[in-house]
Amino acid sequence: MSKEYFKFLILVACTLGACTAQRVVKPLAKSEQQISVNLGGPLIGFGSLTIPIPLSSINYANGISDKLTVHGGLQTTSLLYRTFQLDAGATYGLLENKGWTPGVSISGSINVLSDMREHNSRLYPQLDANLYWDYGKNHFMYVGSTNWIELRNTKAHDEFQEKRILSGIQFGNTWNTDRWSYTVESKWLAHTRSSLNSVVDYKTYSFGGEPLGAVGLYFGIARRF
Amino acid sequence: MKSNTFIILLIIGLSSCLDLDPLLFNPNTDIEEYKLDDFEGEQEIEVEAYQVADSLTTIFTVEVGERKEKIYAVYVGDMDSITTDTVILYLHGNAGHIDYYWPRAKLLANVNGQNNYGVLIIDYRGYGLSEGSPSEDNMYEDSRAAVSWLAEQGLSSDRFMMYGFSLGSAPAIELTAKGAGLTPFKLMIESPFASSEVMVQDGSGLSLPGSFFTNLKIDNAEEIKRINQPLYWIHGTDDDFLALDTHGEIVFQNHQGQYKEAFRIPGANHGDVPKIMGYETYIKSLENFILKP
Repeated sequence: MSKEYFKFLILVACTLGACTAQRVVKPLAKSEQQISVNLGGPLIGFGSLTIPIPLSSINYANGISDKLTVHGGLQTTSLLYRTFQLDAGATYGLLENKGWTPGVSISGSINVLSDMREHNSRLYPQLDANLYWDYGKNHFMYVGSTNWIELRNTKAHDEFQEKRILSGIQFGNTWNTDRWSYTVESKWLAHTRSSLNSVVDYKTYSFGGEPLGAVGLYFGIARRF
Repeated sequence: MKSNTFIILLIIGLSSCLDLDPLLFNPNTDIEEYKLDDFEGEQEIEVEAYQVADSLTTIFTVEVGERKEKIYAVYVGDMDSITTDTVILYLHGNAGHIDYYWPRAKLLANVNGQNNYGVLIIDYRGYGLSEGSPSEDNMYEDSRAAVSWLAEQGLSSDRFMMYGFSLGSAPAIELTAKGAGLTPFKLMIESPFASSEVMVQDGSGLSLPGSFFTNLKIDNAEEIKRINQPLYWIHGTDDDFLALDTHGEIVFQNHQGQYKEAFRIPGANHGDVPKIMGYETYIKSLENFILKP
């Protein structure tokens, strides 16, 4: 088979996985709305360079209260190959940041995926948790975990689905102005899974000589109103 | 309202932009003639110790499809004795062309002695000098044409075997399962592809269907369930392209026939299995499989 084809196939397959940046880490203020665009993905070797796969999404968020923000997103890259991916969910602020005590937020989302070839669909619940710290005048940084939950008991050819959670660890920084936010985030995707024999040259962390998962880099810009 | 309409049109527009399938096939057409032993381009294995008689090597063409496009083939063996010889149809992988796979054809032509078995290798449409464009359907049709040509030369099913490498495992399994005029009495596959669904799931870590990305229908893991012929399967443990566990093992496991042999080659990657196994060991393993009653 063509390695180039399947490298591409795997890369685009990744766009439908947990290869996305955090939607909302810190809840919006009540009645505040936000539209954001995210760009980025797993880091791969591209010639002599290391680059993030340029995956993109468009997102909307609305502050229901000062603690609860609902949000939704559309993966625009996956549309290019005729697969819809929508997500909808909510982020709830459990604790506010006070000094060194981090703010804590949790998010629950549903990811719905459907293709236009054979109209197959999949649904994946997603649970995220983040700790965040405000610093300086307009910044906050965060660290957290993303978890996609596999609902199906079997995978291709009725093989038993052993791995039910696809998780990632992220950390990032957001710089806020009056109406705009700029975020840089790095995510270690599927950090518990080996990528030793992957056809894609993922740039990632290794333990004991075994590369694990993939490291992603994302950039986000948001407009609040 | 206008903005909603724009967004809907944008989504529909974006959603029809890309199709991955044309990227699947990776033919090399950068040759003006087949050079076989004199080919100086890239080859994954070199087998200088295993030669075939020049006088028993024939390059010819076969017409395929409604457009009567010509595909190229090389027969290694005496074309006048196909009525009595045993023949292996070698269905090659996605990279390159006949010259690229020529060392592999020579290895098969040395199983159980030099030129003991006839070997037929073809370039699918769009590969090498073969006319037309590559596609999954064309690959099957071209492989059927090769089988038909062998039948026209007098080959019978009890002297016919197929060997599929990588992409070539798809037509080998498809034609064995569904028949193509002749039915091979033994099937050999090397580094086979299970299905596009496996590839997608390996990549995403989720149980995504193949249709999320591709129209490709290759499904060796299911097709092989219909095959009862003895199966020889060989695969590298370090295959970083079609992983042993998720591709090869599933295909082997799903074979329902009464006899099958597996060779998992430590340290071998996708395209160097015979080399890492050792050519003599590889040839001997094929010989034992073929001769086993």
